[in-house]
Amino acid sequence: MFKILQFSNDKWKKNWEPYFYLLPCLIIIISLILYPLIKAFITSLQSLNFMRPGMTEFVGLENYFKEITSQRTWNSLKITFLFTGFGVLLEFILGFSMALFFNRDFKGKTFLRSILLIPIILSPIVVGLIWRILYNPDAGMINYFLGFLGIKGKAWLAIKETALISLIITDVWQWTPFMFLMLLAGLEGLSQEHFDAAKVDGASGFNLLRYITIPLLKPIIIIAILIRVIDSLRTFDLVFVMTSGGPGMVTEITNYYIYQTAFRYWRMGSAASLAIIFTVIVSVFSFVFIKYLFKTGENLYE
Amino acid sequence: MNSLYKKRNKKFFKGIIFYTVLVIIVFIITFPLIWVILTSLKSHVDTFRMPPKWIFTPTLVHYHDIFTKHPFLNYILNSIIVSFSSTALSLIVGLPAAYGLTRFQIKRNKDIAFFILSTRMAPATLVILPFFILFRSINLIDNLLSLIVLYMIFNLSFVVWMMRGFLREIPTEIDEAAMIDGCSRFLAFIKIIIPLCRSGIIATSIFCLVMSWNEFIFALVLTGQKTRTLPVAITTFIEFSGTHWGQLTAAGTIAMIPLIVFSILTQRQIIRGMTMGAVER
Repeated sequence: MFKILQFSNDKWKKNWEPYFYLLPCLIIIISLILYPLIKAFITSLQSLNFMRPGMTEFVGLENYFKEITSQRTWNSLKITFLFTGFGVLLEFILGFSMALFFNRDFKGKTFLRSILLIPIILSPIVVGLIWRILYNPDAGMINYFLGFLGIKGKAWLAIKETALISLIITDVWQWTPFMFLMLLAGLEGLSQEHFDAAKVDGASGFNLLRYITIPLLKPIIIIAILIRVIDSLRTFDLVFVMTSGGPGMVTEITNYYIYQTAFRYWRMGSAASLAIIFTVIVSVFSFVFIKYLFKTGENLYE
Repeated sequence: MNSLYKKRNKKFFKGIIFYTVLVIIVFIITFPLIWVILTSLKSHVDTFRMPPKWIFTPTLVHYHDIFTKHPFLNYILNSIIVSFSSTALSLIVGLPAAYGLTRFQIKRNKDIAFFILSTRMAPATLVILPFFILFRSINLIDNLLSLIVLYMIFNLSFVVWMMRGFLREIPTEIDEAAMIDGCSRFLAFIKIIIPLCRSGIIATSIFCLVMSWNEFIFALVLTGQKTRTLPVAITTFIEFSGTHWGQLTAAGTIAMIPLIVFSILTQRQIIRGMTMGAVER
């Protein structure tokens, strides 16, 4: 009798033990993640508008229809992907070049790493603030330095043609160090054997880079780009503090547009549907992106 | 002899180029920060004089102003309370979860981990709408608790993801050795495993602290006058932007300095955390 009790006690423990560790976490995540998802979905099906409380009614997919056919929605999506596309591309090119350049021992390497860590760790609000001051047409340092080169300074953030690019430059300033640090760590993790073997075979310079270094770094490149893309699509702070989506709507990324719809126009229902549309797009894009990158990664590891 | 000189010259030349590039890059990174700090120390008259005055008598008037004309100390305290509380909470819940994921053969182990990671993919605006509506209805806007709870959630997925990587490095033999010696698994976890992955915990906490400290949109929407955190406070200075650059840069400097100091001190941890899991494939 005693033995049976003991046995069942152990077995019970074995089956349920892992869940004790996981349970609080899973409960919290599931309830506090599922809740917003469900509530957001429900809201997206209503005409909830805080300017007209009490007039909420169930409107089905009307919000979705309105947003998908809205010019402003497509504009914001275009801006978002332009911002992310060019931003991450520039960050990668610059970061990778820098990583290759600094991939050796030199005095001040630790110092360089500390310095480059700073933009990453600052709040995008602070970064946006700093650059807003720099871009100031009358008293900003960008125009001051450009003056030395004989270039006339412009109101970078206030002109339609230059606003988005100026934002992208700020983003590149903040996040290139991230690419640099990741890729540098990757480069440092590569063993010398690959390079020695290749050099014996006569490879050098560009060929070395293309056929040895890059394929070996594929996993890290994938992860670094993936992280940056996902984070860049979710940008909000920078736009809020630098341009508020303007001038006009040239810098109105989708995330900001959703915010405007919800907290400026108070159209909660529309905002919810927009948010869901955007999340779906981002998720689909991320999954496709991941699959594509991993596929090419596997092939090249021959 | 000639070729020896040529070689040495070439090396010297290359060295100069290298360090020039180094200096340029350091300049590009640090100049904007230094500029803001300098501006915050300039008197009203000097602030935006063009061409800029490089040598000037520094003044602390703006710093004095932001603490007296605004409840700036409150803002700082709010940020501190929210960051530390949410980080602590997410560690308490997340560490065991990460431990559970790595130590037990749970079916769908990978799925759970991926699910937890995918919570990072949703844009903040999707999450904030329902919570805003919810907190508004139960009167929890302008209450630090709402922020702490929310930050805990997204810190949680991060904690689990990172600690999972760190815990995987610790071999299960250690757990088993401890349990053979008679202590329960839970005690083994607390007394042995956790101290072993201390550096991982520190790196993770640093990330969580920084992410919570810098978080903006949730704080923007869910806080009012009393509970405002630093990032939101800074943007309120921008409303007055035309005339109050001094205060704005002073506020920005105060927001920057602790992070800069912090990052220099914990540099190795941060980089380790960032590149962990990416390098060891």
